[in-house]
Amino acid sequence: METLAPPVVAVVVTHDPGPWFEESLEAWAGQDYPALSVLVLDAASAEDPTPRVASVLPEAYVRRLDANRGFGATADEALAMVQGASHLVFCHDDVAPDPDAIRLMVEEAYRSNAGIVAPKLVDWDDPGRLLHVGMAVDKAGAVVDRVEPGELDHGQHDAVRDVFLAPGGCTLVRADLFAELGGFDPEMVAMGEDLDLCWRAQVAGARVVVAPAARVRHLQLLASGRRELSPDLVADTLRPGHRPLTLQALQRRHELRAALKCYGRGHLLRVLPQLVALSLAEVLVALVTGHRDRAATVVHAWGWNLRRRRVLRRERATVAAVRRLADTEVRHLQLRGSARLTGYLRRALTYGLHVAHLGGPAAVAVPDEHVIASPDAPAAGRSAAGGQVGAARAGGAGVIRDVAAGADGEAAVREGPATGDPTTGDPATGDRATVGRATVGRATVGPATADPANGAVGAPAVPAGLAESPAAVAAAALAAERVARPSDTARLVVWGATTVVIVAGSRGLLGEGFPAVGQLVAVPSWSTMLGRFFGGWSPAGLGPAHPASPGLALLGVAGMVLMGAVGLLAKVVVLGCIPLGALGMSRLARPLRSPAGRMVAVVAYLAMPVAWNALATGRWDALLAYGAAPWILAQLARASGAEPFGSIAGEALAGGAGLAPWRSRVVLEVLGLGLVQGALAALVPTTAVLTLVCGLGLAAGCVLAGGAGWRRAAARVVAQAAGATAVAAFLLAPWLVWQSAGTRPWSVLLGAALPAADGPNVGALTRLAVGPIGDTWLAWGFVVAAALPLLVGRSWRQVWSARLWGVALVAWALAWLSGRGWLGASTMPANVLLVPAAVALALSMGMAVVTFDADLRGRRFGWRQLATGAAALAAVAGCLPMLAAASGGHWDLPVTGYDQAVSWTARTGDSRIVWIGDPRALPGAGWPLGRGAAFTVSERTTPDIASLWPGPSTGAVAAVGHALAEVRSGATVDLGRQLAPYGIRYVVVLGGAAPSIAGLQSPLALPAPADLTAGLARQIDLQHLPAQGGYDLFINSVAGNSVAGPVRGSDRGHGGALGGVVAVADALVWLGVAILAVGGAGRLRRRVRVPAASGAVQRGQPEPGALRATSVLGSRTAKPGP
Amino acid sequence: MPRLAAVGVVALALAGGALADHLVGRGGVASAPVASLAADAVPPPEASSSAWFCTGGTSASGGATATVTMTNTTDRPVRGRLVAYPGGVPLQVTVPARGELSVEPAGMVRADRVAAAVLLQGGGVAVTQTVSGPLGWSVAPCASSASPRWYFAHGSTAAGSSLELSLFNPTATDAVVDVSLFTSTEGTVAPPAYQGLDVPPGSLATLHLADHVQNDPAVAASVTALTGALVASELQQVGQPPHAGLALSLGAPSTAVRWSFAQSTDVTGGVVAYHVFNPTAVPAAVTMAIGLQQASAEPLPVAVPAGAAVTIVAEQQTRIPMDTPYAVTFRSAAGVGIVVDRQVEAPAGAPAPAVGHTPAVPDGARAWLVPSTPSAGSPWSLAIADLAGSPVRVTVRTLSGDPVAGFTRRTVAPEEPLFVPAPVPAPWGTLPLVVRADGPVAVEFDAVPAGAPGVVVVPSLPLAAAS
Repeated sequence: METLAPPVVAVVVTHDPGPWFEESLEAWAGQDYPALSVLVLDAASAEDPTPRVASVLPEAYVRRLDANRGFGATADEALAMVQGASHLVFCHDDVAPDPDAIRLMVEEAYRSNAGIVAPKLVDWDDPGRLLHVGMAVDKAGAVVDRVEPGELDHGQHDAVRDVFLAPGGCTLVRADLFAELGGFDPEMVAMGEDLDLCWRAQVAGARVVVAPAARVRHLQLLASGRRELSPDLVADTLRPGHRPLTLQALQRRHELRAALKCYGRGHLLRVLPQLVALSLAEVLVALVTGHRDRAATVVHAWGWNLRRRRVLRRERATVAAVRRLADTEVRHLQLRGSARLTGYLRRALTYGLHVAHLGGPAAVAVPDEHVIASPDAPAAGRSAAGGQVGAARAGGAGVIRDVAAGADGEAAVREGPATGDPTTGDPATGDRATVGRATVGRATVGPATADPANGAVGAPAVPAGLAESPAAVAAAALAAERVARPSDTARLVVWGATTVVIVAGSRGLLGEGFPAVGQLVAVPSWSTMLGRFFGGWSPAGLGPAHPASPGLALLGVAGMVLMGAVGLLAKVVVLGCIPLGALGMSRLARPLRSPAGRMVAVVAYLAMPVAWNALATGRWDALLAYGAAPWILAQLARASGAEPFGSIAGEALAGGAGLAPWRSRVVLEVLGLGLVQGALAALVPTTAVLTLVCGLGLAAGCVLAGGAGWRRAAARVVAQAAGATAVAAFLLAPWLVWQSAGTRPWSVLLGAALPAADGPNVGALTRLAVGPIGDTWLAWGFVVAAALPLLVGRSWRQVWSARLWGVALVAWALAWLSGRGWLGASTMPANVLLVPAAVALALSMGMAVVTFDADLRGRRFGWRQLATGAAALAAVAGCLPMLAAASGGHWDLPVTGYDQAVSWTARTGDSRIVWIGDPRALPGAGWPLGRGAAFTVSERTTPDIASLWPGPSTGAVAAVGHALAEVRSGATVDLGRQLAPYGIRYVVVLGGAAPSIAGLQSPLALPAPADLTAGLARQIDLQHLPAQGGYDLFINSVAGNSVAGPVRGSDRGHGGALGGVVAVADALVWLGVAILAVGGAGRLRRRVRVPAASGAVQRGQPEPGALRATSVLGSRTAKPGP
Repeated sequence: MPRLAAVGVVALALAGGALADHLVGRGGVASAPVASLAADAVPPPEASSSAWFCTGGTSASGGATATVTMTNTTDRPVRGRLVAYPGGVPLQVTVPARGELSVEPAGMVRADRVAAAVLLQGGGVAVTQTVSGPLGWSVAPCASSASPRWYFAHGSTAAGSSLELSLFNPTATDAVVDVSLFTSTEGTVAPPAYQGLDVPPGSLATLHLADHVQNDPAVAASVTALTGALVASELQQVGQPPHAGLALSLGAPSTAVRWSFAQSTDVTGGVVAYHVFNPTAVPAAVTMAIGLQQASAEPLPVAVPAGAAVTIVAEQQTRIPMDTPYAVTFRSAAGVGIVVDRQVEAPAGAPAPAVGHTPAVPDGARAWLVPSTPSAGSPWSLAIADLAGSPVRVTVRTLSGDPVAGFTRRTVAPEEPLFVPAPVPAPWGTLPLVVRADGPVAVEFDAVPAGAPGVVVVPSLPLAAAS
């Protein structure tokens, strides 16, 4: 029948088509467009496809080419072969358009006057899931998908709209436009040729639209690892000794080529510096973080294009010849900013830096990338993997390896291609696929389930056999997010409000330096700190010669990195603990699989009074613990091996089979955790027990929660915590050995005993309020809210809630016992001990959100819903004290410290000051002076940061301590005479965390023990100056008659050299352990990436030939992989 | 673990914690022993240094010539120096082991009123001061520490009486003091001259209270140092011979809720009066408990208004038997601190001193030193009162450690004080004595021949446990 429809030619490019090809041909045969012709261009397949085409589509034209030059170059054959067609449809051989697809695309081309029309690409096996509905591009050519990986098609993208990029697979192009543009860029053998064509089309004034009504199924062979890429295509880059080239590298270089080609000269001058800067930054970050592959990818992109600058010039001229639109108009269609940078930052905030560097959590879980093996790579695994659907693992020559998730996996899933590795394509067929998404999402995620015991209605269940697969868990997390993901607006509002509150609450602390309150003491220059460390001499106390803490070296190095800005260093190491803790909490809550739950956990952690009380009282140890505890608990939770914590990133490192025992995962994790704990204790010794407390708490929680495998989980947690503490002790060994020479060495590590009457009561502890902030009944809100998952949670939520309560109970119990002196002569600081409890409560609150979403949705209204409402109200109430405290602008931290109060002493000569009082009020740290008191000695003014590591109480320190102890016991009346030989001219008896100034500040009162004040009043040679406002100052009336000079010189002279040697040795040990832990983890990670090559089968992943699960909405099926 | 079990464990843990919190309180461990508030406590022998400050004495012309006596309770000689004020030259002294050393500071300075500071290179030495003159003699402990507050429950500016307050600042810090007087006739008096009174380091100020409060038989006083600390003593001189008296007493550095006298005897013709001083701003409900050896007496309630002193005359209390020794303990309710003093007048015709007054003992101790007196050989009366609430065993030895016959080991019951009147000569020889008990006791050593028990009391000084 005669038709008036414009003729259209479908150009199907094939290369070794698989068994799906007939189905694809059948789809073409079934098209209802009356003027459609099919041209099959075969790119040198090993087997002639003509008979197969003929059997299904006898009207089709077939042309076999003698070489495979990639999709673009092959498709360009149509320029010469086709005449008279109004449109060309460029297709891969693994697409199956719906019967009306071509008709609808042509209609839309005319309706929209579009030059290029893209259909809606859907999953081959599961057409209900979207693949692409057009794509967006930023100024650098980085591609961002418009749909989320695995997104179900509910018609949400069914509007016709302009897009920048019509993704390959099936694209309708106006024939005259294609001819004017000169076809695809033949140099782009794979990846990015569609971007280049669309960009040039837009420059030429053509519209690119997506017609979602036209639906095309797509198999995405390359992304799923089911199609090989001939190494001949990239022979110029595959040379012996070179690193394997990844599809990501191809994409990056072609993106760059498109950008360099399509921008006009003026605009290129503007964009090029930005591209260079972004690339340099990416390379720098990649190198610093040890991801050399990524750095090499960027370098390769630039190198490849620069080597082709002559060709590029010609191409630019060609583009200029067809240009009808200015770049500014084209740029309007592009995304603003850098999609790659934005994606990186979002991943870093969401998953942590490690995941961000790799490209996403799935990249961590299954971190392999599409790799074109170098020619000299061993041919292996083809028989096991090549061509196996969903099981491609092999790395033989010429094989495109794609291990299940692909290169960017979850990153591409969550963030889209803007995460840095936007698209890949099949060089032979031009397949475009969101890298690594499909197999993960489809193969392991179960369908929606109505089993409330295992998850919410609609929450996908994980097939039993794949329960611990990283990809499975990652995918399950993805699905869960869809259940409980707050809107972007809500997230923006919450995060914005939280940030505003914290910044506003800290506004008074951001300017000048901290007052000398508690452990917020002066920080000397970085060179001084390093000098003291390597010199083996510390001015703390009376200048004893002993190995300084490695913390001094750590701070020195940090100061050096900050180019000597020690004020900034102080801000960073103190205030930085708070965002660090929030980030850690976010990381800890990630396995909850609920962005809302994670958000609640982080906000709750920030709202709890622990950190703010630590700031208010100048407790740096508690702030450090605040920053580190979530990370430590996350590591220990992973070590427990219990779902969900033990099954994402932890299992990503589960490899190591065949490695030496000392390089096994457990050893490396213990080393890493020990390194963190060692650094903490090196900075402030009173944090030394943090990991152990967390471990014991979690183990107790395992006992409390019970369930299968609790013994193993508890044992693993305790073993790892104990191991890490032992590693930390080893790292601090030189300092500890010296320390043990003094009396009560544990007091330095754990803190001097507090006054017996000052132990916080159970109420204060459970409210986490051992300071001026949060000491109100409102703070009970956190406890109430955290109890919800324990009461109504199911499955792992109930188990983990019980475990977290175990952590909290142990922390509270230790703090209570310690406060009453029942744990020996030392008192572990309550502020530090409460941090694990805060982490546990905050995470439990996050879990409450998941519980509500997963366990209560769909239930009849009852007490559980009422309890949830009460918990929500309680959580809000718990935040109020923190909000109130924020109004002051400095979190109740006194504005005037003892440094200002006694600044005049510095003008009175070279004399020392002995500081006595409650250990919590002491500037820096000191030596214990019986229960409830401690002392330290400084020169001229308040102690500096060296006093945080007071050294052993021997020699002169012991003598001064003995004299002061006699004061307490009433055994002396001439303290001045005893202190005079040590150059001590002033005695300051502290009465609070800071001086009390009427009308200005009323700091937390921490009075010195009564016997101490009474004893000092008995001293006949101390002149008591009138009350100074919260503290007493005595002048030693006989100091001038005693030894004039301080004893520093004599002590510095001997022993310093030995201390220096020990310090250097200690630094080397730290370096060694750090290299071992970090480097070992990196090696292990890389080793896990290529399990097939090593012959190891990664746990939890289907072996070649294993059943491949395919999800279908509402049911679960499994079928053998092809 | 089932949900209920986990919830139960958590709930139980929290409830148990709250209960433990309630039971144990905020301080489960006893705090380190606070240095005794007693101004006359003897520092422990192991102390590296100790000091005593004596004030209130006079030169020979003042009628109350001071003699400082140092008693060494340790087995080693203790060296030190004695500095007489004002302006004296330090005198190096060595107190022999288990021995005594007496010095008259008045001979070292040219002043009517003298003070002394004894600085020792060790502990275990008790220092007392004896004043003697035409009106009699009296013994008072020196102070082993300065204090910012001192209270005196009683004094008299009645006709023929002289009342002096002696303020001595042995520290290196200026002391600025306020002195307030609480009289039976005018109420509280705060003479402007006694407000903001500066007592520089090493200086001595003597206040004649009769300059501001005349002819008042009951004057209580409080000394409050706004800055610094000092030592305060009161010298009371009464009447003319033969019915006269002389009393030197060290103030109480703090109030207390319990005060004791180990023995009192209301002799026929004599007067025993107790003065209960409440320097606080809160009325005190005080109970006067009377301990008899073989009987019991109903406690006597006493209401003491805020900022006032109340006098209880024993003869007017029918529940106090005449001519029978008894122990007295004053207890103040609701933690309101009080200070108690006892005034004793011997019957007419008694030899001088016939009038004296003695501060009560604020708290018990397990070891006491009864120092020497200038009137050795006179008959004495020793009393030991149990303040423990349960029977305590006591031993009495001489300073050299020899047991005292009859006192090898005795038990004292709570409500039955032990009174030991001794004939002349005393069976245990001469003083000093060391009394030890396995519970807190109060010890009083009276010079009975003075006319009546309590006129002249040899002050017992609490010893540190190791002494």
